Amino acid sequence: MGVEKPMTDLGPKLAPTVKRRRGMALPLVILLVIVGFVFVGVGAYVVRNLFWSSQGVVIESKLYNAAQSGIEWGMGQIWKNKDNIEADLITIPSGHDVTFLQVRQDNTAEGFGEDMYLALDDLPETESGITLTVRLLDCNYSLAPGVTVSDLPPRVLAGTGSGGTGTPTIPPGTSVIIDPSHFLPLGGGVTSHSFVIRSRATGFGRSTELESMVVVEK
Amino acid sequence: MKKRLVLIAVFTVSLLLILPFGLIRAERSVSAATSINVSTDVWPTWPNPNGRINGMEVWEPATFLSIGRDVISWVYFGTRPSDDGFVSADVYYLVKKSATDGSIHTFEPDIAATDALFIVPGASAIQSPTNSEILTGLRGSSGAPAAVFPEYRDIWLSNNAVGYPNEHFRDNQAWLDLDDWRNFLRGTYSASFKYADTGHAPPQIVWDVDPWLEAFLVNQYTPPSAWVDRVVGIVSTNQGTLQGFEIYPEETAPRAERKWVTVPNPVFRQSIFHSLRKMYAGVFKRLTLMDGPFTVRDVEIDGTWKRILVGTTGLGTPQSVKPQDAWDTLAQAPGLIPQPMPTMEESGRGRIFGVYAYDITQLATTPYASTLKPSWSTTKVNFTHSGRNFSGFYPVNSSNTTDSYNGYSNIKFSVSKPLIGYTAASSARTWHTILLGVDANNLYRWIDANPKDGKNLQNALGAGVFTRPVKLDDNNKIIVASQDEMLTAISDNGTILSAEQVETLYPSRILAAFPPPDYPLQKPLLSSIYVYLSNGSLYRWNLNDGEAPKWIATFQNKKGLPLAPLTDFDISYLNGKTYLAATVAFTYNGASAHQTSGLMSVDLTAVESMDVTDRVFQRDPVAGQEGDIVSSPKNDPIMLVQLQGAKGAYTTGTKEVMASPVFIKEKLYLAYYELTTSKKINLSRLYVIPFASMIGSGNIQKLTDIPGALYELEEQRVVNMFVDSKGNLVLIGEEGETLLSLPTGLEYAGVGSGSAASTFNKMSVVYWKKL
Repeated sequence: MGVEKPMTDLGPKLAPTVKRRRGMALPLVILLVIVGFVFVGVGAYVVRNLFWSSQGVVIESKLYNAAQSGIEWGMGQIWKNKDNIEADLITIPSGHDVTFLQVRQDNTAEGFGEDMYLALDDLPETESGITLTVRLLDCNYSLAPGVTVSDLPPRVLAGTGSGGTGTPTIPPGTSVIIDPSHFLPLGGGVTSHSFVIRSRATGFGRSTELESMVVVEK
Repeated sequence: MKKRLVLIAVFTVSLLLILPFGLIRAERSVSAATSINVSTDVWPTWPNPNGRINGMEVWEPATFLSIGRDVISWVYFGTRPSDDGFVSADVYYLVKKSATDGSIHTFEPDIAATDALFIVPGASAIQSPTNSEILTGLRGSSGAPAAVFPEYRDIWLSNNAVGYPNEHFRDNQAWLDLDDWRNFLRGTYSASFKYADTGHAPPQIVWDVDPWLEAFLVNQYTPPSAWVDRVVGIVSTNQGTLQGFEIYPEETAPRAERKWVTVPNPVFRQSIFHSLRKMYAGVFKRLTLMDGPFTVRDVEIDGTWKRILVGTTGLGTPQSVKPQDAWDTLAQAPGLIPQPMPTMEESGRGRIFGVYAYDITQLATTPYASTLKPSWSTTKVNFTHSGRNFSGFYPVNSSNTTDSYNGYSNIKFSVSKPLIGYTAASSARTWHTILLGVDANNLYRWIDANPKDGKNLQNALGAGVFTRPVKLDDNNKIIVASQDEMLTAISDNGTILSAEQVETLYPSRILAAFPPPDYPLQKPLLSSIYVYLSNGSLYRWNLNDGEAPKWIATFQNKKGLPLAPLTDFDISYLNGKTYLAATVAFTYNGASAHQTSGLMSVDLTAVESMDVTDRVFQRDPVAGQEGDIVSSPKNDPIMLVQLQGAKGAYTTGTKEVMASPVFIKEKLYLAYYELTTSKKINLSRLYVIPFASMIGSGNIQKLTDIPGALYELEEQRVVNMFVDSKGNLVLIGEEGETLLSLPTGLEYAGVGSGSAASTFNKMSVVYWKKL
């Protein structure tokens, strides 16, 4: 069992080394407060920026998603009407813009006019504050002489021909008289048809537009 | 007393002065006419009515077979009380709803007295012409053709200081009601008829796109935008009109509506005589004004695609001198009879024949003079009567030039369908309008013209001829010696047809075939034009290589009479060979040629391998042989089927083929019906002949032994035959019902142009991007 020793008293030895000086506490506190404010300000600034950045990303995403849904909707409309879409070459006359290329229905009972544009389903629903505009444009077009139009989609003439060669052929042992009333399955009919879908979502002071080209084939 | 004497004197003098004029007036008002001596050099001619030939009708209801379409048209002709009586026509359209329920709809188009009417009294059209515009056009002007041939003379018949024209087309005329003429043109004059007969001009359907150009000139051909998604019917009638109908095939109840009536330049000046003939005789007469076929094609003019229509007046309009009492009867010059009346050198010898063309590129549903636009025309007039030998020639075009039209002056008439196509010997395409006709010397002639203005592309030739390398020598033996092809008269046991009548009854045919498989350019160009003349000769013409028409063979019956074509023919390539199919007149046993007709198919490759002296074929089946027999002696290049219901010396009352024969997928199709002598329906037949294996395989081959080669419909009348957009050959009955629908094996894969379409089955994304 150990014996407890008494503590050594060092007080009198230290006391003579301490000197008295003037106080620095207030400036330090003030500095610390200022630094604290700065930190708080910077923090607030960073947080605020982070918030708005996140908010922009969210809006962009919403617009993008809306535009993307418009593209999907457009694809659905083309697929739904693929056998009822006008296959003839569209010639844009003078005085018209790119909207003249909106897909038309192949309806021989109607005259050539605006009522021939394809009858489409309602656009997909979007979040409140977002407006969606979708255009289905036919790439099988030409321009009337001297006509210029801006924002044209790529020009892809309706594909014709049989197989990969595109060379029409007359079935053997079949009439070869050249006459419009002899409409033979020459294999030169329209075998592919290209469209451009332009979908624009607008809202919260911003807009996003997507474009996609699709081709329907046989 | 003195005053009384003065009054008596005044009265007496008045009587003496007034009486002579009163007598003149009295004389004018009675029909006891006054003869007036005239100069007969400008005695006018009138159109001469055209009638039957040996009891046979001279029109052609059979159309070129429609393939791959669901809209067709045809006409019926009304009965005629006499040889020169007016013949009416009924125009019908048929729509098959192949894309939905397959139902058949037949209907007549709607017409109205207010339908747009155009006249073409020169180079331009006039819409809704006023009386003054009509009369000005009829009178003509200096250097321009007039309605009055040989010329309009304002004061020709003079009596007591009063002058009358030789045909009263002055603005102040009162004897002619021009509204009557307008109503006649529109078919609203009388409830008894809407249209005059269509003569040699089968009705036509015009589609938005030419499938041959669309298929073979990809990215080069631009169909007219004004025609997108339209189906338009056009008929040419002997009223003197070309009429257009908008057809609405996709409506629940398909219908057609007339949109326009136009009177082409060469016809305008003759059509008015329908009214004059009616006023003179009390009834309308059959005048052949717009008797000829027309063709509508898309061509390039000055680098731009245009849709043009080119037609002829067919037989043209024979002339006779105006009846001597017509001035009095028509009240043109009441009570006056001009004399001496001239006589035609030969009755019906005179002729007015014309060719006309329209630019219809921009012709939309609502027509205007600027969209139903005349391009050019030529009119040839000639006749000889004892007062005048007249020959006039009037080309009309926008530039008003008259050069390079000399070929037309050689053509007397043309009842063949104009052919339009292109050559491409170099990289550029040159477009042609080919006309086939006959001249005054009974030679067959052709014209190669520019569709733009009608000018002769081979002007130095004038109108070309067809030269056969063989002919008969004095001993009736075929020798090698060239001979220009001429019309052939037929005289056979009481059936006598003049050369001109043969061409009238059996018009020569001209069609363009696609180049054969070994031709270097596989495009729908004019390398293989086939011409089947009414004298039985067949030619091939490679215009693309700049060659002249080349004789292939001449087909005759065993008496040496021509196997003349009755309808358009067909050409096909199979296993390296070229085949011809045609319905032809056999013309034997004294029966009329229409009653002894047949289907002929020929291996042209085999024919052309033979020596030229062996290519005048004399073939016909045994007279009276029944129609289920195919005759083709062993190793012979020709196959014949007599279109006859039963065996023996049986002659039907009426026989009619429904359309031209057609090759489809190694089978030869033809439908016809026949009536008994009591005009009751005997039967209808459809031939589906495997021609390649039957040609040269025996003189008696029974079609009933070949499954699917012969379809007989007892006591049923087929009224039309076509191949629908699903590839089915369809026979239509009298009630518009489908009598037979037979798959031909044609499988349609295209879309647009009124065809049925196979469906698109794949969709893929080419690109995606954010703008």
